[in-house]
Amino acid sequence: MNVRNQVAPSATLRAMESKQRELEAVNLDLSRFVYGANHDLKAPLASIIGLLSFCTEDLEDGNFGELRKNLEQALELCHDGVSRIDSVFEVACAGRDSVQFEHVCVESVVREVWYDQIRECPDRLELLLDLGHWGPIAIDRLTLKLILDNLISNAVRFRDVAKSSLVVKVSSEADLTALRITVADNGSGIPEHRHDDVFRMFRHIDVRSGNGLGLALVKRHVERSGGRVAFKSVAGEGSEFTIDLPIEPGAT
Amino acid sequence: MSIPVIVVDNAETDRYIARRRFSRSDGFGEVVECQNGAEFLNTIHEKHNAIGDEARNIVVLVDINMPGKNGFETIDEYMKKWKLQHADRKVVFVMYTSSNAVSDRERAASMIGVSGYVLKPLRNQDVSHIRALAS
Repeated sequence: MNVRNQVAPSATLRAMESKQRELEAVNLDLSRFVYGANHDLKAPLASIIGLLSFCTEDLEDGNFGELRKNLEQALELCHDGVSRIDSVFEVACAGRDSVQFEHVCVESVVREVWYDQIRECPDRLELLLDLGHWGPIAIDRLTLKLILDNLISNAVRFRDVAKSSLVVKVSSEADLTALRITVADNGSGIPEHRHDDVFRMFRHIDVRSGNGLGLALVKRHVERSGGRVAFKSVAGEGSEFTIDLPIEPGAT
Repeated sequence: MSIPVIVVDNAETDRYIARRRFSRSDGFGEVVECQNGAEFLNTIHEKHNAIGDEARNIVVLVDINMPGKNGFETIDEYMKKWKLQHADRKVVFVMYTSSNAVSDRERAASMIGVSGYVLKPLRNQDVSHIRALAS
């Protein structure tokens, strides 16, 4: 037996084992996706069936007030279902289009998203901006907008009204290769046992959660552009999300 | 003598569907609605003797996929915390879900306290089935 024959199999074995672990992780992701998509897309349909079967009863009984109410509710659930399907499709497709760099003024994107998000918020929220770079920066504008839309929307929804001041702080810094955006809030935070769910699809932390797709979408978009996402959160104190977005090579 | 019902579900429409089905079926009384597991645990603790007819079992319909505690965790917590204190009154849990996943069905079947598994939307034949379970 020569040395090559002894070394090669164990290296191959290690490679195979690592490949197997990778596949198992992908499989787990897929089965979670199938379960979540099955539930979240089917649940509104089941409710619609229930409502429509009442509608036929109400029609026969001449109970038109209830009939109208239930038809309107069924219609609303249909719209909701359509938008859920669109969102799932959006996550599934994230990463197919190529990254489009353009010169972006980060501050104006932040302000645009902010005023959009707080328009219907009844409580007074304060935006603190701490931008550590000057002038426009060459990044993927749509990804930046998507990140800020989702992170600021979460910060607003998970605000802690028991606190005397409600603050969302957006800060940024940039070097030659990446723009780092941090969105921090003093909201209700995420309990530690739910941290693994944060970027997973169809996970709802509590009733304030949206469709359970926003942060999954953010993660996919950021990672396909070569960036990274991370967060820290303490229940009762707040959350802080940090995103590194690549800057167009040679643009600065 | 009518059977009191609690529906634990975050979806308002599904609570309405259950409330309407039970209120138009013989044998059932008050339908109490809870929007999540935590609200149910408070409700059952604070007024388990005040819900419906004291001599009757309580039927509790529990959704599986809810924000916060899911249906299984909610039932687990009830069994651990309150089961013994409420030994005088039987709580009949029935899963109320749109999930037909084998994993969910198996988990429900393996849980002590869970007597049934009903797929949404709730139909009249489901209500008859639940009446039989509670009697």
